[in-house]
Parts: sequence; structure tokens; C-alpha cells
Amino acid sequence: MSKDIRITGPMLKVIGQILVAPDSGISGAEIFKSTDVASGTLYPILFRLEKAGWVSSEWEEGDPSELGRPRKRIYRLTATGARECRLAFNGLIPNGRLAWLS
Amino acid sequence: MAIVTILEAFLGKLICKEIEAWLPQASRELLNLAISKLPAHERSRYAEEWSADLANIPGDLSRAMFALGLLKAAWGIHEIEKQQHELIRAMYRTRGKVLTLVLCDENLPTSRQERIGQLLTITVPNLQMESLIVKLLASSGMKVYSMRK
Repeated sequence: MSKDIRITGPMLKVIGQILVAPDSGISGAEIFKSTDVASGTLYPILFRLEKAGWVSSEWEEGDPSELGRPRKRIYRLTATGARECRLAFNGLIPNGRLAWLS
Repeated sequence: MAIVTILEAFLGKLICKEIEAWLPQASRELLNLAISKLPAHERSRYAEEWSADLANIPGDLSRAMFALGLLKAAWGIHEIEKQQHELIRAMYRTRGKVLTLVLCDENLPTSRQERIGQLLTITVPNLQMESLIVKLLASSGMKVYSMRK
């Protein structure tokens, strides 16, 4: 399934940022602020990853009226995504392990 | 000469203030334009998500640049959706209880292939399908999915 997704440089950065917060998840704005991936590139990448089942997303908890602002969409890497990332990156990394995956 | 310098400084400051005042509205307009360019079924989700993300970007100029990028993002998402819809136009034929689905492109995600199989079981209710064989035109192998009804 790793060939379902063509891994690009910006995509690596996005996946790397999602992996920084595996439990709490991360919003698009937070990824934007911590990488140099432009919003025009970022959201199609997230869309593609989500369609392929590598990433899942859900609304942050809380009601917009209580929060007083729109809810953030929080992205997390799925078990499939983590497995596929390892498979995809195995060929790139000599010892088959990525520092941020171990 | 001094008058020209004072006038330049005054006009420069005035233009800066004007831009500063218009930037938030320009960002909102760009956001709305981007949302209108999305596929209809994705609009409500991205309207909320992008509004929240836009509010999270510090600085009016950065926010405007972020909103400008959303136009490209909307176009990108639209293109991905369009490609996937084209890929669904697949050919299929039946042989007994096995359905062979020939997909048009090897880039179709596996999850999408499975969804096509599920869709066919609904749209072809009389078909006693036991398995779905997916043949990707550009690949040598086949993928078999059990689809017992």
C-alpha cells in the first residue's frame, strides 16, 4: 500500500510533525507554524493521507459556542499509517529505522 | 524638499494603516473564496477547520498569506477528488460467483478499492459474490478480497 502514496519532501515534513504528537494530535495550523510547508500544499497532503487511511482526523472536544471559536481539526497517524511509513521509509534508511519512529 | 519628505512619510504611514485595516477582511474574503472552490460535500468541514486554523496564525500579513494559500489548497483538494472519481469508473465482469474488477490506475488506494467492492455488493444485489479480484492495469499481480454477503 505504500505505493498508494507518493512520498514527497513536504509530505515527509508533515508526517514528521504528526509523529511529534502521536497521542494529542496536531492541527493544520500547528503543522503550518512548525514547518515551512505552505497552506496551499499542506491541506492537499493531509487530504491525500486521510483518503489513503494513513492519517485520521477528528474535531477537538468542545462546542464552538462554548469555545467561542470554530473547532480545530486534529490529525493523528493511524496504525496503518505508522506501518506504511515504516515500509515506505525502510528503503531510504540504512538500518531500516527512523529516529522519530523508534 | 523637506515638504516632499514629510508628505512621503505621511502617505507611507497612511498606506500602511490602510493595508493593515483591510488585511483581516481580505483574509476572510480569500477564505470564503477558497471554501467556495471546494467540492460541495467538503465545504462545511473545511469552513470550520480553516477558520479555526486561520485564527491560529499570528499577524495580519501571515494570515493573509495563509488564506491566499488556501485557494491553492482548495484547487488541490478538488483535483484529488476529481482524479479519484475518474478512477472509480472501472470495468467489471462476472464469472460465477467471483467478480473481477479491473481498475484504471495503480494509484487507487486499497481503501478505495475495498469501498468499490462494497458499493458493488449494494448496487448488484443479486450477485452472489464470494470474492473480489482487483486487477490493476499497470501491475502484474492481483489483489483478492473476500466479500461474502
